Amino acid sequence: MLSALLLLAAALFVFHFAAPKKAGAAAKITVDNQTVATLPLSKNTTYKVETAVGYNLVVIENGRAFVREADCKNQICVKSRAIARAGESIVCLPHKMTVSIVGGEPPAVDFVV
Amino acid sequence: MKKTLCLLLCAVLCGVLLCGCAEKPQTETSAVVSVDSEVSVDPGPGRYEETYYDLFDTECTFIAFTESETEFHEISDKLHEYLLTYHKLYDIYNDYEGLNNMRALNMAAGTEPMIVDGKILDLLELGKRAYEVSGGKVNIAYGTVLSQWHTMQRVADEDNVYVLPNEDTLKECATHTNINDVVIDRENSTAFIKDAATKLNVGATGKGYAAPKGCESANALGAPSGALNMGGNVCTIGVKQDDGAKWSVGIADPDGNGYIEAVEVADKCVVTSGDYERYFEVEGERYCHLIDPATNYPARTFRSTTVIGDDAGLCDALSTALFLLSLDEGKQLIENTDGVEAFWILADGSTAQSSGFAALAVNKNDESGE
Repeated sequence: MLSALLLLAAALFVFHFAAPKKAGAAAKITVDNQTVATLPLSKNTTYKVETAVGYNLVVIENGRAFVREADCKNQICVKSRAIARAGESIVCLPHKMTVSIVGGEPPAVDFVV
Repeated sequence: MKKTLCLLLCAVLCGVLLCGCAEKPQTETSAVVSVDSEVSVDPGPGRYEETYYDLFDTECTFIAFTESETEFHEISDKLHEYLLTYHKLYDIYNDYEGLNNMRALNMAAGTEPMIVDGKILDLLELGKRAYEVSGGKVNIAYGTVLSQWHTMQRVADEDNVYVLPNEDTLKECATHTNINDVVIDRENSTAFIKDAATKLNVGATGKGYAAPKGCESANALGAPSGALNMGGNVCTIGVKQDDGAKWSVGIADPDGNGYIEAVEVADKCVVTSGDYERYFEVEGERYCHLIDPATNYPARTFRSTTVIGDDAGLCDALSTALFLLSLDEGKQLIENTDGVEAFWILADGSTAQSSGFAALAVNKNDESGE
């Protein structure tokens, strides 16, 4: 009984201190300047952004974010580079949608051109 | 003894559990932020930003330090309205009722002079200056050729059909690109394109002209510290109000790994022309939107060219000019122009810079921010 409790306490102790204390960088998705989702870059995932005029399929893969697919006219978001560093962004003008990297280390630069 | 040990363990367990509970919300909010947590309390003094999606066919982001979020939005909304007037005037694709804009001017080519807003005359004058400075590489009267390429870009984007313009058509179009056919009459506030087949395209100068005007406007509206990025044209007002630091602008790695160089500026602008955002491909060859008047085809020497200086209109024209010139010609142009510096990324990924560029560059060792 005692050893079981001790084990449990030890397990909880280890779990508590091993658990991540700070979230890393994330991809913030906004539609017309309103945040619709913030996805941690540490977890591979696919997120479908539904806007009034169409959709964008945002993919998080190996610490980078990019738009895999969209039904916008110009496809500039789909052709945009994958982003991973604070301050970088991908924009879809027709859908007024932006994916930008936030959090993690403080933004190293104000803009990337 | 056993009892006290049990109690002690329980206390430890509770402590650990409580600790875990107390910290959980913190990690959760920073990992997955939800919108519903937004409360209608103004966060007060700070850095705010807003993106406009309907200007100059590109994304425009405004950042400012203001006393409150409310104040920021008041300034930002007025700035947006202000920039929209430039957008409509310089638009070559759309009509606006009762407005003699660039499109109207193009439509009236070969007929008679048209009374236009002073902002159009200003831009046309900047266009003529850009032509001189760039030795004809930047030409606002090059619209007929550019529209051929623009059509192919649109067909590629919208219909997934990848074709090149007809070479003979391009040659024929290029015979209608004489800048002297663009007549500016300040006295009568008119502009006129003498040749009916010659059309204006202000893609290389319009944003550069409007961006600093936007910054001036934001400053007059009450933002002592801010920055405006109009699709690769960054203009800045003062230094950053929170820590007094200059604005930092990264020059993008064309292959998509963040930026490869960064500069720090205050009350200056940074303009980049690159082949990596607007382009289409035909048989594995990339065709970007920067067309060389010498060949009527996209230039291939560089991935991007960046110019830093005080005059955004001039910087915009120069960055396009550098993209179309050879490296030696470009270096000569920059060294002979007062107060500008430049950075080139060549097709093979190597880089070059002007003699005073290093003084603006951010020390790479400081980048981590630690």
